Amino acid sequence: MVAVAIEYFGPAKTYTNGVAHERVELTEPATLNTLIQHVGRSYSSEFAQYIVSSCGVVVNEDYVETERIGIEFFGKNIALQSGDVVGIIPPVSSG
Amino acid sequence: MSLSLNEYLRYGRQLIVPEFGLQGQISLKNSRVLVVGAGGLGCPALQYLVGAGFGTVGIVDHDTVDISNLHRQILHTSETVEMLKCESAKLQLAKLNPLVQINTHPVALSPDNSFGIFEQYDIILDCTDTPATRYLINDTAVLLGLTVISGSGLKTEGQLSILNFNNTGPCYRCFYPTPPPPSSVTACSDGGVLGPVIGIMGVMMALEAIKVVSGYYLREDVEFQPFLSLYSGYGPLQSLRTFKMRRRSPKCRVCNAGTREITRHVIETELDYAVWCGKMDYNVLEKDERVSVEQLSAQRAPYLVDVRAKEQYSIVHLPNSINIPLNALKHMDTLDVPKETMIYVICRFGNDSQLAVKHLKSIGYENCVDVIGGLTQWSRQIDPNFPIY
Repeated sequence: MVAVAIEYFGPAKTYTNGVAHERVELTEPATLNTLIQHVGRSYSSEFAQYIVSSCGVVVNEDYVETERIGIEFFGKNIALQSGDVVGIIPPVSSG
Repeated sequence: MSLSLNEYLRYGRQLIVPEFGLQGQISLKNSRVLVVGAGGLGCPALQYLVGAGFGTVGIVDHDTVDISNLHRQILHTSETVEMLKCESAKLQLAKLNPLVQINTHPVALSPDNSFGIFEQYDIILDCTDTPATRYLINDTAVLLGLTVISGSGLKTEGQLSILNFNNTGPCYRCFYPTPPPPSSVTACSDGGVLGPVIGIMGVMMALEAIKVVSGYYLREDVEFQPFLSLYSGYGPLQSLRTFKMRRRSPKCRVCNAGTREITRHVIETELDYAVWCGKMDYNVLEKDERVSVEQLSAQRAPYLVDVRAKEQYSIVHLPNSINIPLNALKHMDTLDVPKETMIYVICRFGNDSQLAVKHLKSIGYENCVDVIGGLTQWSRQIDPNFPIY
């Protein structure tokens, strides 16, 4: 099992009922893709879709480059290891 | 160019900061900075930009001052309510530093005017509040080779970044190639924001503008690294986390010359940012699915569901209404009442309540209606002692 931490920034928390961070256990091989699928099952497919289509994602404080193709989840080839910290960063326009 | 005796006195405290110095001051004096939006971000940013002595400061804002602005838009005052925001801001700023040339542009930024306005400036601060405006600002600035200091904030958190630094990207479209779905976009008026949070972001934006214009990021010992900073006010402790961002996207439609599809011509003739970003369509009910506030007030003991967020319900609500926030309601397939129950649905303005009725009907509650104009209309027509916010 691969244990990663997830942080939900800003308005991502409206999809997680206020949860700001949590630890998640994934089966191997763990990728960003499998993590997003897990998040979609825990909260809603709407949230997973929102992450794929609209959010920035950081892994260990580095923004990841991802392919976003239609409704395909991205990050299929971004492997995750135990101890990684993944951040979900939605766009915020208000000011 | 050198400084007058007056300027040595006025700017002395920043002149002697090693990272800034006389050269820093001269570079500010030679620079023209544009602040788009004289609101929660723009007000504090403008105060520090003008105080610091930029040669020319421009303000774009078509809006007028409202009382609900004053807890965070601190350039405006109770006395300038209903004045144009850029004029209200200029009043205060001119008193702060008469040496700065302040230009006001009391227009809504649009593809018709963005290039004409931006061409007059050297650096842009995006202090606006919608995705459509942010993409327009980004695209215009990139095509003119300008750097954008981009900030935002909501509730207790804020974001800060520098876009298109030194004309090498990344830009807003590199970060967010697809606009967010309209249902996920929250404005400060809906989500709320604390004054100091948005104030901190505005002040940070002003500092980044000073750093960029004074050449800090071009120094040999400093390498500009694209970043996104996230501020959290209620961590529980305050914190600023900075993430390393990607460089220019190899597929960017505006800032990568090889894959550019968005040109000035496209922006000025074809691109409709509002349409591309989409708008929430709340008008989903027929006339006979809605009632007026008068009709509601004539009911003796209506089963009234208030679909606002619980924080809004807790500040004020009608007696005997029950609170089921729309976000929760959308995931429910039954309420605790029989399906034939006559249900009245209300919210703040009469928008979300329509979406709620649509959902309730889809799970079998045929006898439900929403209240046109919501609690705001209730306050205006039935009970003026009911607070509007």
